[in-house]
Amino acid sequence: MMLPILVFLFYLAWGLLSLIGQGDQRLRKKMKTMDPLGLIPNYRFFCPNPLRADYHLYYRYRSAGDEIGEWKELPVGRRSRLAGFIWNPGKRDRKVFYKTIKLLREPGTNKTRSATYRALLSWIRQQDAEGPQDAVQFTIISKQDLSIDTVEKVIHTSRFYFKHQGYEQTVRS
Amino acid sequence: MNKLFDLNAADCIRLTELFLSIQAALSCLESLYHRSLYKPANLLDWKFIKEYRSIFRASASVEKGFDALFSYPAVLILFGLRLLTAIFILYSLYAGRQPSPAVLLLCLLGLLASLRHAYSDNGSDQLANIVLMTLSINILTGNAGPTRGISIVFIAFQASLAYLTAGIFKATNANWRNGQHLQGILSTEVFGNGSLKHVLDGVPYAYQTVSATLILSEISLGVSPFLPPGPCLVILGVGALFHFGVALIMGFNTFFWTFLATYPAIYFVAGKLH
Repeated sequence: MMLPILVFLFYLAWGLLSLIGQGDQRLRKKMKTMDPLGLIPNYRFFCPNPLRADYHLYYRYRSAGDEIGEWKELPVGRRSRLAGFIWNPGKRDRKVFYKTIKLLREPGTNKTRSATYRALLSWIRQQDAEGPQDAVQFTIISKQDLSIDTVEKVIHTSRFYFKHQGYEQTVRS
Repeated sequence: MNKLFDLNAADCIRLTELFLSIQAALSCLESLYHRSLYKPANLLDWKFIKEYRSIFRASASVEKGFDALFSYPAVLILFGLRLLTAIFILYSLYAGRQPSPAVLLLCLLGLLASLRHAYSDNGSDQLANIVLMTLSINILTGNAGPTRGISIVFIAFQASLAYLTAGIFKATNANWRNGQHLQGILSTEVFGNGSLKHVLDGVPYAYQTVSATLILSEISLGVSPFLPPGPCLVILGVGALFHFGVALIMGFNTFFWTFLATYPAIYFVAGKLH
């Protein structure tokens, strides 16, 4: 007889935490740090302000002789228009990319030391990894790809990072 | 109640297991196909995930254990095992056997996969883990009697909370109500659709109407466990079509299966309340 009561109390506590988790975002952030498994959900899908822009990632190299190359686009997690509703393996790439952008747009301390930013930088660095380039820089541009009167905005432009060194030794100037 | 609509607790659990196994299998196949994502110097390089969450570095032995489990290519074994478990559950359900131990394993592997995915985990993974945890608690407490009923009610509660949260937050936002946010989403290449945008652009008040329908559908889905089984089934049908449309237009393929997994519980609760 005790077991159903215990199970009920457990679900009641979990349900209340889930309910609280939908409210104040500052409280939610605090709860998130104590919930690595993500069992306190966030059900605010696309609320209150959904993503209304496409983000494009470009990178360019600088040679040892300080010659700067052309910007090249690096597609992030493109999906097939035809098969995307059953098969969409690129969604996690996009999630990391958007998470980094969201972080960069938030006010506060240096976001370039965050794990997602460094993962993005690391991924960009390994493009043309065998090339002779010395340092790499990237920029993120936002626009609405399907809108005719779209305006391009620069979201972030990084410094030049040395290609083959750890993060702490990457910044030259 | 009409017999066509009868759903007992055991069938409800089986249907939930079925849809969650499809979701898990699909998710693992995508991870295995796109395995370069987990390689060193890539977006989900273990080195960065480990820095993201301090629990991975709680002590030297904990770190060593996680390194062995989550670094590349060891992590592919985790995805492969999860895929095999999901396939085994699907086979067991097809053969009419109870896949209880496999469901426990799928839950454990799902939680591990979420830990590994860290900042790339999405809402579908999260809800799937919550439902799998609930199924596991149900199995560990005997998969019968009142505890099974309470577990089903909890799954319905989570689905209801998800729809109501999404619906109410949209309803209280002026740009959602007037259709501007929907227009903005559909104008993107990543979540939008050129053909659909073209059609809606040509119809006055189209975005406003579609947005209002979306809000109304989400709120209706949220209250559907409290409706009589007939109307509840109709709303769940609309919900399934909605998620299929979202998968088609926005590419949220696993959300379809995850939310579908909660529908038997919603319908079961509606049946019990009336």
